[in-house]
Amino acid sequence: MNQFLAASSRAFQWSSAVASSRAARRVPRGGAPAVIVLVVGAIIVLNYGLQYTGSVLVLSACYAIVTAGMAVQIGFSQQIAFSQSVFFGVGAYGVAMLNTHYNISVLLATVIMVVAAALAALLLGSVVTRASGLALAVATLMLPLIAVGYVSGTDFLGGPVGAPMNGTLWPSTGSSTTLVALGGGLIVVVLLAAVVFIASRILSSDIGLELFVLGVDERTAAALGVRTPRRKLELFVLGCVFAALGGALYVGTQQFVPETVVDPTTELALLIMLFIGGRRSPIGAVIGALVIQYLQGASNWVSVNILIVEGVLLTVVLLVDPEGLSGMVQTGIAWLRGKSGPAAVDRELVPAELAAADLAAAATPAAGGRGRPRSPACRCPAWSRRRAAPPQTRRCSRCAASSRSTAASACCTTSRSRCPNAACSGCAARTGRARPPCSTSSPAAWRRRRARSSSAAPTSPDGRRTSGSSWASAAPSRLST
Amino acid sequence: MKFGNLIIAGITTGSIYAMFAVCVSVWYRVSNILNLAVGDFAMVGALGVDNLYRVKGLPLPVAIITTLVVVAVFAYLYDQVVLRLAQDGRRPIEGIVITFFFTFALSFFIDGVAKVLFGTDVHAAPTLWGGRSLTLGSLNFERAGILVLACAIIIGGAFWVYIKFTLGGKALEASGENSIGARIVGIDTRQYRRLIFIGTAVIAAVFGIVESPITGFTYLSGATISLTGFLAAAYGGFRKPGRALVAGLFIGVLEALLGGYVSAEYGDTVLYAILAAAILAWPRALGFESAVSG
Repeated sequence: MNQFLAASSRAFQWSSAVASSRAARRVPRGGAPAVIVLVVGAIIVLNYGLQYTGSVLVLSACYAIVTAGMAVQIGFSQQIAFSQSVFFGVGAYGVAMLNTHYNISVLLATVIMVVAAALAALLLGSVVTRASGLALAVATLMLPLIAVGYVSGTDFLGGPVGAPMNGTLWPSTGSSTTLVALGGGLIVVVLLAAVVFIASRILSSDIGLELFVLGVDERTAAALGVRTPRRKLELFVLGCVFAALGGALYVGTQQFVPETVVDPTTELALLIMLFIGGRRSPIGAVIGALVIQYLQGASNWVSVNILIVEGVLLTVVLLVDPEGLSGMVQTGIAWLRGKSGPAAVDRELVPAELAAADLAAAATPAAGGRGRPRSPACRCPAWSRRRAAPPQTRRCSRCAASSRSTAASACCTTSRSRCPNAACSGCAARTGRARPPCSTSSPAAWRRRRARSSSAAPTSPDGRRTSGSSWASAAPSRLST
Repeated sequence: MKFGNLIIAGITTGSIYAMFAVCVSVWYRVSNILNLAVGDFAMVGALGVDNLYRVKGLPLPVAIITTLVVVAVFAYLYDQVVLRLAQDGRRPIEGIVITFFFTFALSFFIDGVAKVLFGTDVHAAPTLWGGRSLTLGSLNFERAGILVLACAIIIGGAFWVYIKFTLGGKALEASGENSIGARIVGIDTRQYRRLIFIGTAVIAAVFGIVESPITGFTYLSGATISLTGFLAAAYGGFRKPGRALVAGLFIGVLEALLGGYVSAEYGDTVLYAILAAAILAWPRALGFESAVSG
């Protein structure tokens, strides 16, 4: 415990230094995967854009947009909703219809359909996300079944044949086919990078921590102060919007919507991509989409027996690591680090341990941990307004040294951190003792204090008599200078 | 007598759903894994018998027995290799990964193998009880449908007797209530997991053989059957075979009635919409208490 306190105080000093430096502000968290996707994708499109390989990769990027959203929704937050293929279809059919019947350019139609999908998801989600766990899974499993029944019977949408489209993603009036192919590919790659950025940014933020708790247990999350209905609705809308975007780009690059996009098999294919790549990591989801789509597009025995390959691949990958390919890579990196330094943070820890591990990892800059240290305030989601607690100058009751806030490192135990007896971490480190327990350092002291408080009869501003415990929380105003 | 005929057709398909739902939910009790490959075993049963009988020229009983043995051996091997590694190791896999995705991968694998072995055409096992459909007044009874119903009643009854009246059934019930507790009192849940997995695979194959003359199977039919079984099991809360059975029959009858009276084209769409609305309206009453976690 003592070590932890010392480490966290060091973490606080170091991280406040980093947080205030300009270097930290320049690259927001989640930027690195997005930049990698952008650069690699652009190189691939520019080099192979006109070949078959390039078109397969652009197609897989459309699916990757969907799976990156699923990584947040299904993998990380465990909200198992099978709605993605339907909204993929909404985006694809919507753009095709707007372009064919109303002559709206594909890019504008994409924007319109994404907004429309967001509204539709908001309406649908406010009904569907009332359910949780398996009920959510089964209820949303109906959506692809309903959609495929509707689409195959509707001639307006092309029925079982599918809907063709003339327009292209790159505005094609007067431009060559080369430009259309490369430009369309680049638009897809840029949007994929943006989606990956949004997804990884969410996961590494405080909201990400709330979502993590939501994924571990919904009731625990609610007890910790996470507004679960709202978060669930937001997750549903996020997944649906990304799916619609992916569908719109799909039709923009393929110029055709087959009826099978709303089929349950599309949903299954997306799930396989997600779980092979790594269910909790957006970049893993991108890699999964790439791998599966590449295997399907390869015209050799692999694509002929794609079902066997997918089945075996999924089984083997999940047996080796339930976190998929990205989990294997992380384990490999952790193993390499383990040879040279402390191990990486295990994502399966419960949030309190996670916060502790974060701080501990941040305290040793050489370890690197999971990147930059967090800001000093508590990482407990219930109190996670990160910048809400400015460091206060406060005098330590024990060594009388004026120090910056000692409260920050342990605000999960709120009453304790405001305890007037709390020694500053400096003297706790010196004497080798942890801070004394709050207001009950000994029964005798507690009785003494209780007698004193009842005789003085202090009252709170609203006139109520305060009890012994709230004496403690009222005290810092007297002690602070 | 349109109504009566629709009810008969509904009960026939409903009994198929019900049996697959019972297979899914009984195995979920002991293993906490949803068997999404149950329909693929049915498909293998139907297409395997067809292939051995029609193409290879084996006599029908030999073909049926060979197919069932192959299914059982394959199920045994899958349990011994994959599920043992996944669940019985030092670091058992938990949560949605094991609940959905291992049998899901198995389903893909079986489909792929079936495509190689049996081709992509629609086939069906030979009719076991040929002849014109029986009529009673204006009601029509398909002979294959009667066989399906008979199988459902026999196997369902056997399940009921097994769960209610034997020690094995009690152990099964105990591991359904609390898997860790069952292991503490000495019930070998792994053994039951293997037994039920093989048993349900064989039952599914039998149903595939009996049912295929009605609908015909391709190598992709398995997923649809698993899906309906999964849905019906879901309305039984995944752990209650009795309720799953009722739910399966109900879905079958509702499907037939909607197809007959509302719209042949959009009947299924309406059915699924009704089912989804029911879940959202009464999640507790329908037994969706147990959430997937982890």
